[in-house]
Amino acid sequence: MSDWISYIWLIPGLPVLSALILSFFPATSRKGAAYFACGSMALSFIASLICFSITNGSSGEVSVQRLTHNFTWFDVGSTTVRIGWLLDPLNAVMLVMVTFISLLVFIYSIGYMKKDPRIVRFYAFLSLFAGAMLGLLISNHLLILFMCWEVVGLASYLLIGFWYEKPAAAAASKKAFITTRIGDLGFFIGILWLYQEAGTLLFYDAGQGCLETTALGWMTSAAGLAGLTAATSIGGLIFVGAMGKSGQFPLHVWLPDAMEGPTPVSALIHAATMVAAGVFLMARVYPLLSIPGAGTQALTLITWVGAITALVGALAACAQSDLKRILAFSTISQLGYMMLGLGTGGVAVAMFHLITHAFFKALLFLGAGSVIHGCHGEQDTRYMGGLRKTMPITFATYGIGMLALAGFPLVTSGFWSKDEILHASLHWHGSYIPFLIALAGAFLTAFYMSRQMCMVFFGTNRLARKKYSDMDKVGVPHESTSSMLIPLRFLAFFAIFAGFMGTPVFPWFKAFLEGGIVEWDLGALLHGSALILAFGSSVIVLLGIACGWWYYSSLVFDPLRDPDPLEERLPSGWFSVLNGKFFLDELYEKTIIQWTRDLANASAWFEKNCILPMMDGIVFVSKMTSWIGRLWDEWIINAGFDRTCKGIQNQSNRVSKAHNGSVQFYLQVVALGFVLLTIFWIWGGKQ
Amino acid sequence: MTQLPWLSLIIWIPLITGILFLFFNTAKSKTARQFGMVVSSLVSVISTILWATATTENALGSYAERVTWIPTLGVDYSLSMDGLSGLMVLLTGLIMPFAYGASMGCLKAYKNETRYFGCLLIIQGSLLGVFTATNFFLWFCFYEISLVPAFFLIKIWGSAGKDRSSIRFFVYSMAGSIALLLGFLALAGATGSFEFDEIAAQSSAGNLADLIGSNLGWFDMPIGWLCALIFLLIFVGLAVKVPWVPLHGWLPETYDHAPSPVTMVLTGLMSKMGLYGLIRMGLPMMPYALPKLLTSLLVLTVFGIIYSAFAAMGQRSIKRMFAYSSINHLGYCMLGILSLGVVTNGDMNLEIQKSSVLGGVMLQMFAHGIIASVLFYFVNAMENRIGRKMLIDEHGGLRKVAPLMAGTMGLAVFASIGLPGLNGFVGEFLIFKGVFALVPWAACMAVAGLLITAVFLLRFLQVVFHGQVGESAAKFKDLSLMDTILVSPFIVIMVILGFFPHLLLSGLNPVINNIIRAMQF
Repeated sequence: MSDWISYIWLIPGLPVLSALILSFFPATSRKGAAYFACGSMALSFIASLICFSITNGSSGEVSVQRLTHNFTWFDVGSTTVRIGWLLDPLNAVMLVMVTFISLLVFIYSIGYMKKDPRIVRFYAFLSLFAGAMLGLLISNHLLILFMCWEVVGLASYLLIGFWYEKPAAAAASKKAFITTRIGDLGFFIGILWLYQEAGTLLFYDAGQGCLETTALGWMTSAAGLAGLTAATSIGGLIFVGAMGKSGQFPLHVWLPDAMEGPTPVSALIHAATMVAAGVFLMARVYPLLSIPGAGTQALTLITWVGAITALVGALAACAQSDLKRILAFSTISQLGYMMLGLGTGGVAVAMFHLITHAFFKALLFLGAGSVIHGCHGEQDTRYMGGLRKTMPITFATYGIGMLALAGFPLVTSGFWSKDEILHASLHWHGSYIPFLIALAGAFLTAFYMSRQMCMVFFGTNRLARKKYSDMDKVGVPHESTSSMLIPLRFLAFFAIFAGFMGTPVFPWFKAFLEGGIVEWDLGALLHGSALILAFGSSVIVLLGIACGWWYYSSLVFDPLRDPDPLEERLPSGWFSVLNGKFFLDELYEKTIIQWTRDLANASAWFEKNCILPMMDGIVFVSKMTSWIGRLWDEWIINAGFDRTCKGIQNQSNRVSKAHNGSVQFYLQVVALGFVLLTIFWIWGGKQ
Repeated sequence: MTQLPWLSLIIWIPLITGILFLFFNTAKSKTARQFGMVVSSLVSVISTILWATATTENALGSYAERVTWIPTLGVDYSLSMDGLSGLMVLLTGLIMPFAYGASMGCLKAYKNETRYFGCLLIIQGSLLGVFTATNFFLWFCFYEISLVPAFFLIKIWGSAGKDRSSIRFFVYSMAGSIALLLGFLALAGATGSFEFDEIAAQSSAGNLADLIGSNLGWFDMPIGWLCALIFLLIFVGLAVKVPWVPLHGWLPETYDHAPSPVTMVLTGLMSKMGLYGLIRMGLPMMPYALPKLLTSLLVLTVFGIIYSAFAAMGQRSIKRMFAYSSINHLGYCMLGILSLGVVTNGDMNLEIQKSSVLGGVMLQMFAHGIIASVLFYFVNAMENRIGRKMLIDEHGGLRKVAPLMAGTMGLAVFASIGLPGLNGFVGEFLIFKGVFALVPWAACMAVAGLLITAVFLLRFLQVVFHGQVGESAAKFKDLSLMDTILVSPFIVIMVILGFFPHLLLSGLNPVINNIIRAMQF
């Protein structure tokens, strides 16, 4: 029973292997590549389901069951570096989610990427991504997790820049990699520190791991930065890495630009899975953040960063018109919610929202892909409209996704998971402001999603009104093929029903993750603050939807003719700030990026104008020395040495007739120096 | 001793062949060139086999040879191969035929080809000598021999500006040699031996300071200062070669003006002579150097790591950018070596960290050798295609016309960035892990170098390979079959060593333990 865990590496291994094989596939075997990738992903999915059912078997018990398999990676000096795999409820549920959504996106891409000439490469990159992401999940070692984390970043880089001929895509991929790497520096230092304090990076190792009681005890007593304990400081540093990957303010700027990649990539990587890796990481190291008596400053930091991110993302989403960028900002905002939930309510709260969000956000992005596909590549919502008639299935599924994201009461998964976060933040000891921000975010989310629905699916279609330079692009919108629609139906199902695994009535999800017995408890829903909160948030969501409908209904608003209603109603300038994403890109461009550039130019200038002359000075001095040496040599040293030098001279002349002859002198200097020093050592040194 | 003197064979076969090549009739250059390739590859195969079959259980070297050479000085002709030597022998074996192959593709326009290849063979032989010599005298002979062909390779076959660069290279190398010579002769004078092992043994016995005090006593200098001075001379003499900011002035010029295959050798192998020397000669002296001196050298090193990364970012020439990037990457090795000087007072944890650093330094030396020579191979390939040196913003969209080159070079670039899963990462991690425990501030500041490296290397990928295909790039050819054959083993090595570092480390651990044990007393 215990040895099968050593084969868990097959779950990430299969996609990695298929990525390897696919990179040797001929570019022409397009269908073969797609089916091959889907097949290996399906196997991974089945394996994940098995793992999930095994961990699920332990639910109902009081403590959480963890299976580990640790082994030696390499020895350095007299120490051994051991790594390992881990299976516990936390990553079991993630495994199922990631493999399931990956599989759907793989299937979806068959239709979406049908005409792309590099579809084989596309599947190779996607498989590499899936493998690295799954490796990240099953890792029982922080360094291995970090390695997979970086490979995931590489896959993201390759896929954002998949259409590398587009300068915007090439720039976006670089921006994504570098911005996340800024966060990774903090993460890296956190790893180094943790390694030093705990002596191991294995999470769980029969009591010796860095997340187990003994090591946590050491870290509680050790001092860290600025009066904090080491545990809190390390937690904060690791969170910096999560900020980069999970698009937390102020490192979120790469995520909207990442939408330059193909839409299935946006759905899989930049909405459902990779960006959630930061939340997963924090959930994984949660024991480090929540040691009793070690201070909760790291969690406070996470809460505040999450709250600010939730608000900033939601505000910016209200004023965008690009279909995918609206969703990107909404992702940023929702990731903020997850962090907020983690900081205030713990692992179960954050992970619940992570899972439900993964389903409905993947649904929304794939739906958006279907819309873009149907509109012949158009992404600007102002040129859409009326698509509910021509794309009915896309409309229906997208509508479900939109309601789930907005948190439509009772029937959607988003409602239940967001409710948990609101509940946790309400009872947070630190401050009530994050709770108010979360409420405001809920309103904004409902508002911008209904705004988007109105502009895309209602009213009349405006595609024909755009003046394209390429006349072929003009056309009537059409519904997508079935390989694209089937994944939408699956995801729509989960966008509704995934929420029921974590309602207050039946909190199975919490019990599954944290251990404990789950029971039906209808009373919990009616219990005091829970009921009021659920009711209040429902009202706010409905208000937001109504507000969006009111402003953007096609009866009163034509995006191509009228200015945005929000622009008219907000004080002047506000809309452009929101539309310009708070001008953070411009700010970074003017400050950090410009400073970096200046430093680079200054260094290059210094090299040219200081180091080079200094070097030539040294060369000049040694030339002088060599002349003196030559005089010395000719006058003092006997002819035998001269002959040797002559030999060198002739030899060099034979090799090259072109050079100017000064080299021999250096050779002489060295030879002379060598001889003199040897003489000195033999007679003088020993005394 | 019944076995063949293998180490002597791999040193002297290329050395003698190379010297013969200098006198060879150039009319038959093609045959000679191919014969040289056979010699170089044969030696490489033997080198690899020697590395693979060397005993690794203990720190003592395999294949040892010893012949009395200059009895009056107590100097023997003595060669041996322990783990560290083996690693470097392997690296030489991998890179020299690679550079030789790269040269065969690009030197059609030159006369005197045979002599060019002769010089490469002399370098191969003398490098193998440097990495296997067990005493300073022999080591220094090979070290100096290797500089001469390198000088002529730059001087004769380099690009515009080669004359000044070759002089700079030579003067800097020579100045370094003199400093090293002074330092080591003082050390040898104190201990009465040229043997590295003997000096290391005296060092670990804690006798060096006393010996220096009683045997030298220059100008009534305090012994502490004298030890520091000797260490500084050895350090500076070898650091010039690595190079180490601020003694790096010769490097960008030289790497830029040397023929690119020669740059592969310069960066892949000749820079390692400095690091190898530091580990052999610098470390035994290090515990006697003043802590303040070590701290100031560390400050300069950290500054150099960041400064050279910025300087790389400020370059327009691809070749110069990689040259500065090389300074940055070897800066991590220098950081690691200098951090070994931290006084541990017998703290077991810090001793463990030191062995991690030393292991990291060795892995990084190997990884940098592989990655940098592959990168300069691609620079060479680009130069061959457009007929001159290439600027970063000259062509765009090369990935479209040369996808294979974009893929393989992209992988090498990511290895250079230190992407986990490729060979650049494990070494860097081990260095940083240990340095963080030994000198926390240095590690925290030096990580900035990792970020800046990513910035300019990704900008390189973006500007050169991505975007629209420039008009001038439309005829740019992808990798040829020969290119692919030469590059693909290195790509495989990059990936495999990223996951299985113990393939190298298992042979290194005895040496690492030995050196670290020798430093504690």
